[in-house]
Amino acid sequence: MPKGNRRSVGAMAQGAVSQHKDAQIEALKAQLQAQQATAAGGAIIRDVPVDQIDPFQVVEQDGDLRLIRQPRTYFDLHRLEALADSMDAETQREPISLRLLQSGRFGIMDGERRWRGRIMRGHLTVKAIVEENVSDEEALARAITTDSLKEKVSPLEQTISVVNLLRLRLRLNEAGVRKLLYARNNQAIGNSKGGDIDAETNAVIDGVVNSLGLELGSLVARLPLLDLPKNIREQVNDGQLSPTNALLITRAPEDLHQQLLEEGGQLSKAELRERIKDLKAGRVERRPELDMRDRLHQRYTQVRSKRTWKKIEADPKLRRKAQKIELLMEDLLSAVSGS
Amino acid sequence: MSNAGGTGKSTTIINVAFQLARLGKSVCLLGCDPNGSLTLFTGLPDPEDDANTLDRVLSPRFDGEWPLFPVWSDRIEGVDVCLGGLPLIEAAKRIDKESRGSYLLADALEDHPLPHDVVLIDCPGTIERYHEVALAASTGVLVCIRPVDKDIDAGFKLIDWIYRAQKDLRLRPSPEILGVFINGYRKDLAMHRDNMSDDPERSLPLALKSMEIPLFPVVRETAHLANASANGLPLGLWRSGEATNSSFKAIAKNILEGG
Repeated sequence: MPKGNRRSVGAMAQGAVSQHKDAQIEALKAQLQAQQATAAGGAIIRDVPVDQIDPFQVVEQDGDLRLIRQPRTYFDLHRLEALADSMDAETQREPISLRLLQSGRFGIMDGERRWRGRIMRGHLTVKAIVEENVSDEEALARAITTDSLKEKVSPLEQTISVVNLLRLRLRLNEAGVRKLLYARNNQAIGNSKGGDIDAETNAVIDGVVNSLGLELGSLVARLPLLDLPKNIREQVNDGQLSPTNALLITRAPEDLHQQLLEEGGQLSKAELRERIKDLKAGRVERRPELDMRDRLHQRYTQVRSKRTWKKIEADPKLRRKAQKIELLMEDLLSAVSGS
Repeated sequence: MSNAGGTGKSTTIINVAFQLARLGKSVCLLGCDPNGSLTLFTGLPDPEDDANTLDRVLSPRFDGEWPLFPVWSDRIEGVDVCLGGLPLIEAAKRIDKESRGSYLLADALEDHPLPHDVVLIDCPGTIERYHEVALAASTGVLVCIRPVDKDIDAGFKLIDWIYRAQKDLRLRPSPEILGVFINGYRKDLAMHRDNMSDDPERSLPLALKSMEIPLFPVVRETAHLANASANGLPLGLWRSGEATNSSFKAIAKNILEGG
């Protein structure tokens, strides 16, 4: 039977899905505004002692009791200082959002920066709205959405958050979630039929990714960020280094990292790529331990490469030089066999 | 609403109306469609003149006298219909010139509220001005689709349009998409099976799930349904034992919960 070009349901739904996403984000924003409005109306705000509050954390479900990292893992000291200053001047305006934990302490859902700002300035309490019976999953979802809406989360933190939310929903470890995200993305871009992921799981993944207004493709592209060495990760969170450049640097040889980190912030992706290439080449030239035999081999390979050879063939001068080399090599070989 | 002809909008709406009436609710059907299929499906004669159709309502000078006709009144109470039909073609031209064109029905309902518990609006087959008129007057939208690629593609375009129109018309609160209703499912057709399967490439249910749009129990193609409509009756009066009736009941209940 001749094969035609049947449109996938995903392709059919594309326009509707993006409109749906917009509508959802609008609704969340309205919800957040309404929450803040009731808070401003003075409904149920109370002063909570700062030392009874824990930053966001969720305990892992599958046996090992490691803490899942909180959505906000990095705080810009300058911004924190500025915030603390402004809170000194006019006292805290917007209450933070807490949930009552089983331990009787309070967990932060939104407002960790304000809480740290209060502590920094030596305040004993912080204004907060406290909610009871909020599940880990819901708290994490809320923390991520409010953070995403306020656009103060770095791409890295956003990635960590989505992976954590999926860990909770799907009851998987981090490696499992990452594997699934890759598989789902391959499926979405048509690289595989992805028969091994069940439909429910797919719907959960798409739901989480869509509800946060993210693209699956860019999320998956950011997954390697989770493996960044600590020093590089800090620069990404700082905003000093773009995620793309960070990944380029980690893929470069390790002894070049320090130098690249110092320069990487100012360079565009293409510039950084060139720089890495130059540095690598320079390193090879500098390397003293390369003996003559290896050097010759290296030069020979370079000369023989398609690109170089094309140029040599096109230019009569270069061709004559190449001929000279050939003669020299023949000389050398006959001398060797004669001796 | 739908965005393809023959998806079973009118059939669905009269059956849902009947189920609502059986649940003790009063229902008004508005035929917002120039094809006037509600007239046939409710077994009424064609309206005598324009004033006996929705045409009368769609005017800024509407006097509040809704041209309503009771249907199936010998069998069940509480279902009235305001008919559509050819006069709506002329009305559409008039609506285009009115300053509150898209809001004429919404205004009529606000100024002269109907006493019914539920108002159901039957829209034309493909997106046109009457969809805006209906959307502006609605609290919820029911989308009808047959499980074939053409309808599904058009159905998603309709959903896309609904989101856009909600913004453009500045509807607050925005009418919610109550769900998608699949009509005419046939197990013996591969295309129907594919589109209702859980193959991520083809699955309509999964695509809807990722958008959090509810899917109502699927209605299989049955001659009884077409026969009932052709005789101007809901399936519940034609063949009360048919399993399909439960799908319509599910929608009726959902509407009551939502509103």
